[in-house]
Amino acid sequence: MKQKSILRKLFSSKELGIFIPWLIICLVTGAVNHAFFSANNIINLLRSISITLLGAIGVTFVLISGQMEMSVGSTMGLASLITGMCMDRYQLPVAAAILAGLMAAAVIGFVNGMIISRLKIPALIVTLGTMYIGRGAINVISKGVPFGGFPDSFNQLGQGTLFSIPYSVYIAFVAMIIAMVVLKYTVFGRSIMAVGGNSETARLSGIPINRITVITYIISAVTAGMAGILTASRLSSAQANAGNGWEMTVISAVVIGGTSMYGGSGSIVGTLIGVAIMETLTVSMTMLRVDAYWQKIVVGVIIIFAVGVDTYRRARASSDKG
Amino acid sequence: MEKRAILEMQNITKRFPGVLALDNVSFEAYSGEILALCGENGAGKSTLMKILSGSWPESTYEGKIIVDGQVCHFTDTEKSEKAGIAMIYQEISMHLDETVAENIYLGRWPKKRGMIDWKKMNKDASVYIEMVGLEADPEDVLRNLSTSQQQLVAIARALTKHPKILVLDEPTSPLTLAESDRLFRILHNLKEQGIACILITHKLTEVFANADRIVVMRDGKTISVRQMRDATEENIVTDMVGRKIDSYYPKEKTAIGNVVLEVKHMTVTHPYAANKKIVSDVSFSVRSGEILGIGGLVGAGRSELVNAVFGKIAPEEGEVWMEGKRLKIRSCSDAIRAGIALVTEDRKTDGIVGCLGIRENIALASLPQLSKYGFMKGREEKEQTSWYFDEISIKAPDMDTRLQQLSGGNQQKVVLSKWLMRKPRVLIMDEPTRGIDVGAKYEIYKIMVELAKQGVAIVMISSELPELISMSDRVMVLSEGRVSGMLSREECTQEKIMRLATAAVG
Repeated sequence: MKQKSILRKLFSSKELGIFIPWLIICLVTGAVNHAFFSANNIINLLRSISITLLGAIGVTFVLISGQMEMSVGSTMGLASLITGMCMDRYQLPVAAAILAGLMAAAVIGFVNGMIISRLKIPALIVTLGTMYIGRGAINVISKGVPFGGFPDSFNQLGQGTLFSIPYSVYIAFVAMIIAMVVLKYTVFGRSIMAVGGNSETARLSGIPINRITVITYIISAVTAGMAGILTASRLSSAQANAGNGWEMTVISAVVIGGTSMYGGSGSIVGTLIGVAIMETLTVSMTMLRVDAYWQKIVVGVIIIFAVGVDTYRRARASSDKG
Repeated sequence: MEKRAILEMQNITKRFPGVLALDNVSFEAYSGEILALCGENGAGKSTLMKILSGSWPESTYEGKIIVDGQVCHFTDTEKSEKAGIAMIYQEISMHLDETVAENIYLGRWPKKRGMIDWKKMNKDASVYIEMVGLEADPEDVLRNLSTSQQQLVAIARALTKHPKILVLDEPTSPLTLAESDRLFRILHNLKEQGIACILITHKLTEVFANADRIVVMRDGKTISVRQMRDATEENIVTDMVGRKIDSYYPKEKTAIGNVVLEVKHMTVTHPYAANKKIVSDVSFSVRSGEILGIGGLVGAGRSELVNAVFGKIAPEEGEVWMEGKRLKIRSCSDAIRAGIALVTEDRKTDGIVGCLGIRENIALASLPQLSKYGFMKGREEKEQTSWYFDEISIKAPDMDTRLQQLSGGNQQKVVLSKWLMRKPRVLIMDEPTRGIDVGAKYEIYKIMVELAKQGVAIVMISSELPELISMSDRVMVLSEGRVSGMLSREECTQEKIMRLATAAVG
């Protein structure tokens, strides 16, 4: 009896529920195409997971707080472009250029948060707006021409490795640990859970819900900015279309990872697995020679399925109270 | 004209889990009359009308409904409408961004070859617009009309269905006096045309001025049916109250100290009628160790009053003083910091976070106290929240149980614990025992008494008269947003409170 309950607990754990599908994807792909398990492929996969994970961590916070974030793709592109521009056009030192890129991202996050919390405009609309504004700003600044010719020290950031593992993996890992600690052990983490779970209760309990919203959007924008800068470094080039459509990958990964679209619950580990699924799927489908046009259809089905599971869980949770 | 029973509801019994909402109720309405349906909050009026409208389908209750001599089977609201029953609810449910004519014909648009015939719709609508005396064009957008005009649109909409029975739930509460008068002129007009108007209301003055008969309900039963000419305010009030005091109240005499909270001239704008005030110029004070009860009927402005004190809603004007100092309350956190706590009326919407555990919910209002440099002090949090968990005896498997899995009583205990952890000097409780079983109720009363002994000033809103009388040291009664009376514990009776609650003030 007890064993059964442990088993049930294990299988009802959200993380395990998606870890197994990921494992299956890996095994099936590896069985069909042995190149999947090659060191080269694994390292490349790790690198793309780490970059997407950075953005997904920020979006996890936003979704837990019960909001929406569509502008991460543009924010990522803008941070990458500003950093690239500072080095290429103005010959600024690497550190200053990175700082400028992150600041630009933070501004977008701040604007998002302020408009959403003060003017009470739905987050989907606001971030959709800043998504367009951000992309527009990228095109105005770059006129479509990529920035390049970065110092080697900058290129090392995205290309260099330590113990043959890319730097970006270490960066994402540290960011992930920090995010887990923030979510679990800080007042801020507790507050966003409460705001996402029931913002009116949170407000009446004295939690500054507007400030919480602004901070979550800044976090989301800065992590997206980090991903953008790493991408520029990896490609030795900051391009105008960087991060185009990236928001969809990121949001899908977070939702697949079990973070609720309705706010109030979510996990960073879940997000990691969600990102792994999204990135692995892209690689796998290419390796399994799935038509590129079909890949999008598969991803779309998976997203609806993931949200469906979340909705079903919620409906059950609210009906079984005594 | 010979009056005939257009509606007979016979032996209606409706059960909710654990509650008998309607107990063998029989009810009649005659064509060409205005019938007032009165009773305390929770007497069963709304449930009865929901059965009549088909909102509760036939299978969920026992009894028979006869309209115009024919037995009806209302399995949904459409059937009820077809039988000639029209409802007008207090909160007007209409599409604000559509025109008057569209609202009147919503879902029944006149069609020509499958397309909406706009010309005919606007023309037909203007007939009904005139009938209810509405000064508006069929093509006016509803949002631009005043609340009373919107209500007339709702009545016009009801009339297009040619009802035999028109039910109005508290129609005058968002209206000014002049607007109410006009509404009643229209009702008298409809009555002349042979329509039975059933009026649910709290305002006895309205009843005496307009109704032909009055039905009083209490505890799911019909208590009395009277011709208006035989009725006096005295006997109606007596019929409305008189609920048995069936539970034991552990109230003790406590030492009452100095004034802790003082509220002056509190005024709050009506949520959906800008030219009306839901709370107007209310002043009161509470002393330490005292339990101040606030009585009144739904819509009297009790919740809005305390919400404004706590900073949950912004008042139009008003001052809050705490121990002789004026507070500037711009948000709830200002009130919390000053030592005020509010247990809200509706736990689910703004009392609990359902998807979080008991520990997180109890700690929610004390995060600054339970943290250092932004990090939660884990052990301290665990110790302190468990102390309340045990002390208040919350029944749950463990502290991580999510709130949505708890019963109403246990949820309420969690909400109470959350506030007790802040050691408030003023505890405001809005309907603290609503939807809670008898055992948990008693425990909550015990906690209140214990707090009063410790010198906390308690403000309790309650619709349950026995609870209000038995637990309070003083009772303030509100009627239509104003204080209609202040009763000491000695002079408190159910009749007195009800008379004040139904009184017209100012």
